[in-house]
Amino acid sequence: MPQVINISDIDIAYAEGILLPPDKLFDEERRAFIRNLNTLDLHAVPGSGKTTVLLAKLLILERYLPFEDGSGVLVISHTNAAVDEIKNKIFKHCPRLFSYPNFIGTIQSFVDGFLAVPFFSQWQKRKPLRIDNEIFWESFLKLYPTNYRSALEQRLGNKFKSFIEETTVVNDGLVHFYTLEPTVIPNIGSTTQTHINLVRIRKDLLKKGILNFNDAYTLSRISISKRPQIIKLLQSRFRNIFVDEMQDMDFHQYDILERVFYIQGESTSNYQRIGDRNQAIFNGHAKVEINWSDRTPVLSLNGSQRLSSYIANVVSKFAYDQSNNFSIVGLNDGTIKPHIIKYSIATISNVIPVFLDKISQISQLPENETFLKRIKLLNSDGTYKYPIRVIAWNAEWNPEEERTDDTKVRLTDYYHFFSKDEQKPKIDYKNLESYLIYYDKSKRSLESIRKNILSLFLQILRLEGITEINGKYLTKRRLIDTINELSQNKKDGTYERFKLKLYEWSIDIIREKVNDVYFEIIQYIPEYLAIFGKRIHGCQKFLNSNTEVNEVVEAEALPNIKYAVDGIEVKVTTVHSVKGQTHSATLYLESSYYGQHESERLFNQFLGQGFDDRRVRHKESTKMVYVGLSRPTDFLCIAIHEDRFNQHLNDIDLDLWEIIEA
Amino acid sequence: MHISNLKLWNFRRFGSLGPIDLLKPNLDLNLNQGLNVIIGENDSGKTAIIDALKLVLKTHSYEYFKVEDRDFYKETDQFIIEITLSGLEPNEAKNFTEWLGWIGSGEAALPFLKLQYAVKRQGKRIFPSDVKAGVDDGYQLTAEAKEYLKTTYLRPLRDAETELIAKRNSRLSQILLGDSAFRGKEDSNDLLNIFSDLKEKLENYFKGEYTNPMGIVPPEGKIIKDKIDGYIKSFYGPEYESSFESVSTDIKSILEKLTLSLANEPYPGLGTLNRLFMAAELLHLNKDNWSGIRLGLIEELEAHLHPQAQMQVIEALQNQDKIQLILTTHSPNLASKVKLGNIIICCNSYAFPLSSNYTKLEKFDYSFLERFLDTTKANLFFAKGLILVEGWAEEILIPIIAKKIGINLTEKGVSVINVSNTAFLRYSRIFQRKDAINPKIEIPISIITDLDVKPEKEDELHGGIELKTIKKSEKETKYDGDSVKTYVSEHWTLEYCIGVSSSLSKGLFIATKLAGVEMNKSGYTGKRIDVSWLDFSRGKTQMEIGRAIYDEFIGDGKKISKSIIAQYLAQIISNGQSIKREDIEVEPAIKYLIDAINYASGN
Repeated sequence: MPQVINISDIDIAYAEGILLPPDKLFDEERRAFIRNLNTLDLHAVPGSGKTTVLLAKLLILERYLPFEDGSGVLVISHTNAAVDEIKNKIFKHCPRLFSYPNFIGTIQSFVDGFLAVPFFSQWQKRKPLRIDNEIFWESFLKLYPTNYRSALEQRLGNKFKSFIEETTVVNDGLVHFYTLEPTVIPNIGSTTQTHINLVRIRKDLLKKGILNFNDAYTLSRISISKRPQIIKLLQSRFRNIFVDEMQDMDFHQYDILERVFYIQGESTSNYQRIGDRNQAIFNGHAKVEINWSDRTPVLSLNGSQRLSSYIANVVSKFAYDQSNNFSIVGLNDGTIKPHIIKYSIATISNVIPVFLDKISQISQLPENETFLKRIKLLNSDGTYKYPIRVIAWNAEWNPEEERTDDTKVRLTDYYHFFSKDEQKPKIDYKNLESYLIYYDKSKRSLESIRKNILSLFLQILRLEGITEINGKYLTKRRLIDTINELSQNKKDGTYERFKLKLYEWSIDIIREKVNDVYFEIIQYIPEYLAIFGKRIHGCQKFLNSNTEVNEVVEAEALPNIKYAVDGIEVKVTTVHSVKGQTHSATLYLESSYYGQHESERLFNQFLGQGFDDRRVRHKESTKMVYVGLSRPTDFLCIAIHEDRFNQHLNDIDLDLWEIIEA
Repeated sequence: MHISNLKLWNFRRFGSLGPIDLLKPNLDLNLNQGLNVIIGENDSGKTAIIDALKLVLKTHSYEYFKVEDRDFYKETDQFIIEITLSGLEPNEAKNFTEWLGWIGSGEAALPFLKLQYAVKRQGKRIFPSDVKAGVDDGYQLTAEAKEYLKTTYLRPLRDAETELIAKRNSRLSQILLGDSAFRGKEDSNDLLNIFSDLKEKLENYFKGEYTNPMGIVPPEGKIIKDKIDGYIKSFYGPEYESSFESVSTDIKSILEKLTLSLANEPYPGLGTLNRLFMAAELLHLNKDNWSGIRLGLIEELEAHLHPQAQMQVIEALQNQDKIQLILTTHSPNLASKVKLGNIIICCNSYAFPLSSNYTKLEKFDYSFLERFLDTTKANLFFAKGLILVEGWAEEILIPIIAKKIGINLTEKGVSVINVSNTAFLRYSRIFQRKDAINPKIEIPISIITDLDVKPEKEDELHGGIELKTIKKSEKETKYDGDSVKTYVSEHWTLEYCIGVSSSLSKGLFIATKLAGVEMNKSGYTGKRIDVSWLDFSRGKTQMEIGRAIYDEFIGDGKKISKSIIAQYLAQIISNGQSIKREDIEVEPAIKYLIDAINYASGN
């Protein structure tokens, strides 16, 4: 009989003490969720603080750890950022939750660690080399040269990449990576060289353990059908499972979780899914097909601490799923009406400045004192707690896309300096200097810089074709161990010197001496390759190329173009990048998607009708608008071209909206 | 690289009930780069500090430390130890790159390493956990990195003799192996040749093939071997024979055969061995091919050392500039030789560094105070309560008066410290903290000082306030603060106050008379008392008696020694049946003494 945990008011008070400001308590809606540990779904409207209630539940569960049956708590989210957020907020209060037998991580890390890697290891008697799309592509393109793949690329066009990632090989046949149903390439027969080589190379990479992210799901799917015992094992390991941002799960992610932790209600685990179906957007695309089908009990959080009643009312009309008397209760007491900025092609560049002027003006009014306070409120790390953002769904025009007329706009038409390449830390870059610039700056230790420098050295090894004896690429750990071993044999201090340089480069980057480090590394490369008995050959281009670097330098040289209100910087960005954020003020710029703008597809919602449309693009649009409009606490603004406004929105309710001109 | 800060939550006596507040450690202690001497009475937390460091850093001698129930404060279920290491040279920092944080920005960024060890328990079960390093939440150190954090630890009751003699895995062999003379030269050191010669000769001796310097081949070895071979052959068969081998000649087993002793000292005592042992450990800490931490933890440095030796050792240790030493002591001798800035007092469940950054004593006062410290005054740091006085008379009389009113200052652990001069009373500020947030030193400290206003001037008005009141409050504001309280005499001086107290004035009269007689024996020819008490006191009010004794025999310009008078008075008070506790306790003129005694002894 599993241990019964009764969450008491004292437990909840403990969590309130940590998570809420001194004068706030969880309301009944939230308490009901916190107390309930059974399998359930929780639907939460934007700004309802669902992550906070989840954190409350985790803080409380930690008080009961370790459980008598030795099981752990599993918390899955979609992105590393979401996992880090959980960590940052509660790690110091409950470090035990972050260690065995509990697991908090992304869906990918869970699937890799508990299903894919163990299965691969049994199959190949060693661990996979790497589960990573970049390395996968690097190896794939090397093994599958242009002459093999040109036919395929022509056939598939821009779907080539996703096709390769979504296809795998079973019994020498191409199948869908998750459903394992046979895949046919139109007009390319299974006896062609293109096909044969694709099968061969894909198989080769699988066996070598150079896997892409989807491969992990393939292995997991096979693992649970071949060895269903794993399901029972995982259920006894994790009695309590929480999945946050459920709406962002892809079908295969959703399905694997169902197969392991729900199995039609047969599971012994308690599986709680938390999210907001209406906010199902990811990777810049709105997800239309809903994976997430309801099962009772369904709890909901309808009260939004973030939104004012004005904004809540507007946002609720755009909810994709209006079932079950859907509503959003705006609990924030802001009184500023949402604004629409009408513009023409002549005035489009005034849109953002008008928005900013309006903020300066409104925030000075005595009745909007809390708005002003929110704008200026800082987090402990010096960033703004409620930033001001300008957002749009579609950012740039693709070169091949033709603009039919110039009333069709995208983000770059409002703001010419927009560049999509945010400085996002990834593992591999195309040139040396990028490694030194794009490290994870949110970390307060040298770890992320050191990691980048090591990645850089690994990249050089790959470019020079240096591998371990068994043909595997080295990992960071193996690189260090290898240098240590070689150095011990020679007794020449190479290892100590390498460590010292690694440190000096890392700290010098913090000391803003990136250029010095760049040149020192270039100088060191011959010595580095000499450790492995090689000379510079294949990595020449990597060392010298600096095209990307130039772009970065240019982007940095344009700081004056940034917008600001009272010295507070205002970022211009995409809707998908502000998911989950809370702003004080948001300007939503309509943009063209498949030839139409939001005001054209969704004018009924602007006029006050709930969404009810079956057309795919309409569904995508409403989800995007729903996410975008539900960001601000106080001031929501939408930019709409005057022609479109006049055509569709002339009857808009002026008690709910304020209309201004750019 | 050195430990710059130690924070503890709920570790042993450093704790508080209720949830852990990471912003409020129960101990937040900054440490010096060089020498740190932790002093304090028993059970004040000295060892807890050393043990906390050991638990996190581990030691070179591969001792095994286990977290025990008693490591948790009362019934709390989690303790945290957090250590910050600063001043990392590049060569040291390179061992920890991925865990380093930095302070400052741009060019001025300096690395630091933070280590955290959090242990939880549930009931009697203690959950094992690892030391985490890093700035955010940190992660485990590699075995290699841990090696660079190991400290040298000398336990309190160390058995220096067994540490220094030849045996397997002897501490001496470990130390030598780490030295650059041997490290990395395991195959080439000359000791190897010396020992391999010896090995060959030994083995030849038993084969009867060894020729001694006189050209003789001694047969004894061969004879023994032949005897054994006789048995072997009968047990096994004719083809078997024995072989004498000296143990292998790798450098480790050679070093294990060495014993360290003091030249020309055939019977070294424990003290000598201890110093030898420390010398060996210093060799270890100073080894030049080491890029890890150089930290020595020494408990009870004074163990087995006589006072002069203690002082000599501590002076030598103060001159070590490359290593950080954290040591505990109970020895006032030792404390008197240590610079104040290197002292940390442990009391009321906190630890207080005494350097000028933390106390209200002015920086320039430090050098004076250090010169002034001797072993008696170093007592100051070991007491449970203190009474600071400005002269011999107070120093002699206060313990006696205390005893008379039923307080044994020695038993209570209260020291009476004579600073000899009113100017030095300000040194009490060494016990006052600059920082307003952290705990204060709670050792009760009474300062006893004279009013220094002649009786006839006491009532003089200045701006409507009596001179006596003005002087009193001046003195109080000058010294009071934290746990320091000033007690100003009711009138002029101590002797005058005694003189005007009806239960004590006769005693003072007799003591002054006896002091005069004694001083006369050593050639004193000044004014002495030659009348009887009855004659002297006849017709005088109590105030007049007090004034007369003081003016005629004791006051300025009069030569009868106050300290000799105090000696006699002390005898009279402690033996005299006529001086009663009840009387003394209600004597208004000496109430300030009674109050000072009561405060310092915690009543």
